[in-house]
Amino acid sequence: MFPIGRVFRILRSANWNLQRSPALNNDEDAIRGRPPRKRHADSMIENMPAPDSRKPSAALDEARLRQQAIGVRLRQMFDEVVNEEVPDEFLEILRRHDSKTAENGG
Amino acid sequence: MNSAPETRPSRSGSDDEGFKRELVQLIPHLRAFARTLCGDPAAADDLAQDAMMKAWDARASFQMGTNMKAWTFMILRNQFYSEKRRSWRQSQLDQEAAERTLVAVDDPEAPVALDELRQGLAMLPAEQREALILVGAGGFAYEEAAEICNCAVGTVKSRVSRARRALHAILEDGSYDRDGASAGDAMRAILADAERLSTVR
Repeated sequence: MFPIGRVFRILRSANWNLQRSPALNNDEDAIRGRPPRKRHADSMIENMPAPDSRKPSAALDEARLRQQAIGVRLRQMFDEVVNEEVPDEFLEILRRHDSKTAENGG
Repeated sequence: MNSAPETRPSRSGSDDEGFKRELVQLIPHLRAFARTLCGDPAAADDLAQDAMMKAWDARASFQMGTNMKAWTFMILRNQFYSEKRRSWRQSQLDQEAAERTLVAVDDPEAPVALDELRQGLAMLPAEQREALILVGAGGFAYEEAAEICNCAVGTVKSRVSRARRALHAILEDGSYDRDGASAGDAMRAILADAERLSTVR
């Protein structure tokens, strides 16, 4: 099932991810029916054909909204891993390797 | 100033320290990108560690001040595809592991269930998936994504665009769905929500 309510709570929450706030602001504008202010590279609507040519703007809004919902989830999926704690292994390997190359170099 | 033989005269210890600090900060992002390529978390961490070490070894060739995130992502991606080339069988096993992972991540406590998106992504061609992830989730500009994937900017744009359309079609079609509910209904519900939001203001 699509947890619609939660997706929209995320869309509305400006502090969901500070790094993403410009994109989220655009998302908010679109939800409230305002035109997007600036085309961001993240804009999920780009090159989307309007599925209904009789009502181009409504169809475009629909398409934009759907793509935004997908876009939010895509970023969330990625950020879920980014926000995981980095296993100690990583820093250990780097430290071990570092001291090894320091010996070779010095 | 330094009695040790200078193999890299243009680099100093403080350059290395700065490089290392930046590299350590990128580890979470490398892990996330590796996870989207490998699927299996353990294999993904191995890949991210290999990429981290390769980046460290190649630090002399990195120009400080340029985009280190894009540079390390490029290293990670090259590493992934060179490993795949070495062993086709291994990549098939990776695919099986990825499919198991898709089932394993079905966590009802997750803030938002992402299973259908993961499954939808898994159905995309690899080059479309990576382009969409770099631009749509990794925060890269098309130009940076093109550099990472070693292709033209226009190619990245068309891959991202095709990936978005395909993913949307997959999700709307509901071919990922397992609980009997229609994803088309879910999309209609999204639109109903949007209408309500626009009138509330």
